Amino acid sequence: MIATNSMSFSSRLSLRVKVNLTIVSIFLLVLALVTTFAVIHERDRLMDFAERQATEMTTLYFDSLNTMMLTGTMDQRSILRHKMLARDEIIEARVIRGQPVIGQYGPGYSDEVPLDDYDNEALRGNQVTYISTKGTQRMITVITPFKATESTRGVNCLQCHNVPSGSVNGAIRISYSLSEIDAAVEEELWTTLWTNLVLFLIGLLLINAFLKAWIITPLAELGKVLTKRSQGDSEVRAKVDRADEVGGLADAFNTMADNVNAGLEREHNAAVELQHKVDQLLEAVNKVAEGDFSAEIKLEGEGAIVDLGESLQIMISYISLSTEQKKEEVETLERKVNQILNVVTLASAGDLTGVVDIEGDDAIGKLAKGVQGMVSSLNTLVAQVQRSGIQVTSSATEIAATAKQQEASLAEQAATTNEITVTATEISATTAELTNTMDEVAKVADRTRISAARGHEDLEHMETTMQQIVEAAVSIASKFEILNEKARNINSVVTTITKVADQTNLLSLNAAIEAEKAGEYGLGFSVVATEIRRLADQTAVATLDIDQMIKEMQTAVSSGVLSMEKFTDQVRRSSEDVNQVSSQLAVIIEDVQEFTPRFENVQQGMHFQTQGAKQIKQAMVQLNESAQQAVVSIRHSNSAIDSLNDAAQSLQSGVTKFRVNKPGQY
Amino acid sequence: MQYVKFNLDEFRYVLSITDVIEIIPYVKLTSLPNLPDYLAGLFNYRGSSVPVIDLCSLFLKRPCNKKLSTRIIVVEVIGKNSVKKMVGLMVEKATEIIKVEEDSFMDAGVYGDDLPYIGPVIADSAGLISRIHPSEIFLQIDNEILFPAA
Repeated sequence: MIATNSMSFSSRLSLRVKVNLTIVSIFLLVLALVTTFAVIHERDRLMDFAERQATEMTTLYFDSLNTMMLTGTMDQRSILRHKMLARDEIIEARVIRGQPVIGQYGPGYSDEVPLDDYDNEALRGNQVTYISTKGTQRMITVITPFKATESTRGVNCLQCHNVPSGSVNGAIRISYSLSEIDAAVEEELWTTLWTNLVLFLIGLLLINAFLKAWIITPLAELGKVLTKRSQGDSEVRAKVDRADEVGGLADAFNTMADNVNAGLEREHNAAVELQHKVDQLLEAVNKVAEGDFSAEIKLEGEGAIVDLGESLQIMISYISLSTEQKKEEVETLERKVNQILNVVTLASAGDLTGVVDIEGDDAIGKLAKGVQGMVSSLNTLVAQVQRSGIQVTSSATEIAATAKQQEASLAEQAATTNEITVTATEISATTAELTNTMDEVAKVADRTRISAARGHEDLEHMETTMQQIVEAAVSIASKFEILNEKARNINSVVTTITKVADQTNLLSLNAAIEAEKAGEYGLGFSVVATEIRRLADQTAVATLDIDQMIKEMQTAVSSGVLSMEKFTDQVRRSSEDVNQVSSQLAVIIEDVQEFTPRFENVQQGMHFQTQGAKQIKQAMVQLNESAQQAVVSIRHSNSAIDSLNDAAQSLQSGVTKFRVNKPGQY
Repeated sequence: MQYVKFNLDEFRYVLSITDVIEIIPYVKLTSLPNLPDYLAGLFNYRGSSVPVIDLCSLFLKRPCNKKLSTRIIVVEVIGKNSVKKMVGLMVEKATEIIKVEEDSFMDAGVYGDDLPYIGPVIADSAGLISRIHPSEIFLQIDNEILFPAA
């Protein structure tokens, strides 16, 4: 990144802008100088031309006036003046009379007298030229004096003018307009300016194109390569495809990149080797720190690091040796202390069988003897206590077991008694209920018997009625059949009538046709035919009505017959059902009548049963009470035995903690 | 003028009685194989074999009901080559003769070769009745069957 902030303004601009700024500055300077020079030069030239033109005009004016003098037409000299003034570029044209002429010919016209200092200066014989501005118009004024000589412009003035040679007879004043010249100069200025600007722009574009193609693009590419390199890509190389300065720069960069890469590679290798050696040393030192002295340091080559390795090796060997010696001493001491500690630890856990066999008069040896004595004394005492405890415990356990058995039997007895009581109560209650139920059953049975008897009678009536209905239905059905037959007969009669009516209608139609054929003679017949047709139609309508009625009747009769048949069937079936029910009822009545004496027997038995159950219940309650009392007293003795047992148990468990030698061992 | 009125379903027609020879009841017809549907069969009319056209088949595409009021109107028609021929027209409900003044007929208001059975019409309380001429019916059916080839 380019630190743009700290740079001056000019160094922050791009190469192209700088080049363009330089070219533009130079061009503007050159353009200003060239244009100024050209315009000044042109203007001078034109001014010179204007002056000469004006001077020429004065001479021309004089020559013309001189001609008029010689031809004697001076009176019309104002014509000449008007002709001169008629030219566009001539603003003023005047003849100024000098003193000699005024003396000889008079003062002349009012415009022929001198009007200003320039006129007087000319009359003194000096050529006057000056530039003045009138309004927006610039003009050059030339006043040429004319002297009277023997040969002024080829004419001898002294022939007519009575003056000494060389005296100023007058002057001609011409004011010549500079507008045209000024316009020409301005136009020239703009043309030059525009042409130069266009040429300059083309040049600028060409320069930019070349600049881009030859310098900026190659430099930008090289810049990209450098950026990549700076970002760490060591393999990147510039493209060398030109022999100019930029190509040289790219080539130089590539060489530099190769050299830098090679240097980096060498340094890296050296660092790796050094790292390896240091790692070896560090590994050995770490092992030593962890207590492993087996490490061997083997470094090849020369230098400080190898020396350091050798010294370290020697140091490690020395430390290893001294550590071995110390370790042996400590182990001996540790063994003895461990032995004593074992015995004491066993004793504290209750094992008093431990033996300490350490000789010597040092502190450890004395300690061992003391401990051995203490353990032996404890051993004897605890053995005695253990034996007594076992005896007490076994006795207490026996007593407790006996009491438990007794309690269990009593509890069982109580439970059984309770069950019997409950059962007796239930029997009592059930019997009472049953007695009630039996009473009700007896009553219901009685009522049933009466109802059944009544139902039986009713059913017999019904059966008779049913029989009558069946007979009636059969007779109705046969009547329906007769009716149906009659209706069929009527129908056939109606059909015959209909056919006759149809025939009559047809006859009447044909009669009308025949009448028509007969023409006038048939008219009367035609009327008859119409009447016949009407009659036939009415008949047809009437028979249609009858036909309809008969059909309806037949339908009704048919459905009536069908319904009657169904009804008769149902009645028959019902009659059979009633018969069956009636016989069943008779059986029921007999059965119910048999029940009554049996009910009485059952009731009596139940009463006795109730009383017996009540007596059992009372006896059981008494038994239960005494059992409860026995249980309570056993519970009391039980708790006493439990207390004894607990005491014996705790004594024994306290003593069993100790392990002792068999009697006679000490 | 007097006209025989008959029905074909809800459509009503009249036929001038001057065209009618006789109206006869429905009789059993002798049928022949391969006859078109509208040709119901043949019967013996006073010693002549007369073909019967079933107008129900022709107009309604169903045969006439076999009822008492179904009748055969015997007419004489003029066919191809001005040949006169007797044919029976089987129709339904041919039970009435009505009187109609000639002036009462009016234009039906629909025309076209596809509607040949609509002639001039008259109005009564039940609607319009169309008049047909027997010979016109034969313009629509195959004359080769009914009339001898020239």
